[in-house]
Amino acid sequence: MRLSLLSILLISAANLASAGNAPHEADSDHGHMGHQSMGITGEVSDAEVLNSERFQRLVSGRHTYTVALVSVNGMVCDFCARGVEKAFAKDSSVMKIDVDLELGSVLIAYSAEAQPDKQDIDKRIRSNGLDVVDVEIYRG
Amino acid sequence: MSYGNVPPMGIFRVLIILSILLPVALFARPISYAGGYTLMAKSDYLKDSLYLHYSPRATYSFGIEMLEGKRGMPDRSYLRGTWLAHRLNKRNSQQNLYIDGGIDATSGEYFIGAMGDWETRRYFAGFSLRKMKWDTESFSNNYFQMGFAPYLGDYGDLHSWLLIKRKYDGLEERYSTYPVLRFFKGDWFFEAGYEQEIDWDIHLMYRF
Repeated sequence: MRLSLLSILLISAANLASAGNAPHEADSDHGHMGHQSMGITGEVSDAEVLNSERFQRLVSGRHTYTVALVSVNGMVCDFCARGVEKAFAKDSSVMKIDVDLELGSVLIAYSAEAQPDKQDIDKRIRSNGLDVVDVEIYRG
Repeated sequence: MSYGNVPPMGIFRVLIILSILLPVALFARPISYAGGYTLMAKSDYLKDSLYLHYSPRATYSFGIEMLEGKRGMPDRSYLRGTWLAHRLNKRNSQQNLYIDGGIDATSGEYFIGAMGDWETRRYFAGFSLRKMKWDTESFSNNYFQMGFAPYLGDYGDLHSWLLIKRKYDGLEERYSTYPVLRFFKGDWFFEAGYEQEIDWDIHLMYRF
């Protein structure tokens, strides 16, 4: 019984501690297709995304690219992200996936002719029990 | 004694065969991603068990656990189900509450329980409360564990955790506290704890 109470108290305390971290959902509804997309929930600018090593690595060797940048809540461990990778690997138009645990983001490189659907992306992420905060599509 | 169609001492033989047949990969959640299977092997001073479950959705799973008892604990084959009752995803954390249960088809003995965890990339805390109902008695098996990752690995790296586990075994009315090492890489998960009196507490998991 003591162990049960201790467990419940600690989990409750952890919940309260994390409640203050909730932060960026409010400014998440600004994704759109095209070059002029906004950054991930206002935290990272387009220039930072496009010039990042991860992005460059993802599109290297391609004349044109279509990349979705998905900001995800709850992706705090490698294991949580495994399902995300597997969910998108089933999509034949997906060429490559890059997961950034630190930023909580997923970069998905599509074939040049692909038309990524934000709702489909959202659905695939949610099927893994994670929450999508924002989706941006970059073409170049 | 035997459980189901698996002969005594067969669990780890099965596991070894599966480990060879399946590509190397594992983790530690009672529910996988939608359409995912999870194979878990556990061994402690009371039992060796092998549990295979399937998750149609990320909110529930069902499967079968074959359990080989030690120290007078009987062998069992549980039909099990787990439901994700609550999940809270934050930018830097995730919190889960699961309800689970299982019934041994032959004896009718069952258990019900709740599990919860909260984790960030750096810290982890989790608990399990389980009420076992046997023919002649009922008892609780509970544990709480918490710990931290000494380094923050990137996606695909080997991830390591140092934890402390406090466990209550209602069958023997014994409390034990011991350190646990946890590693996971890709779809593979391995956790091992040791305490002199109860010996090893090992948990191996593979998701596919």
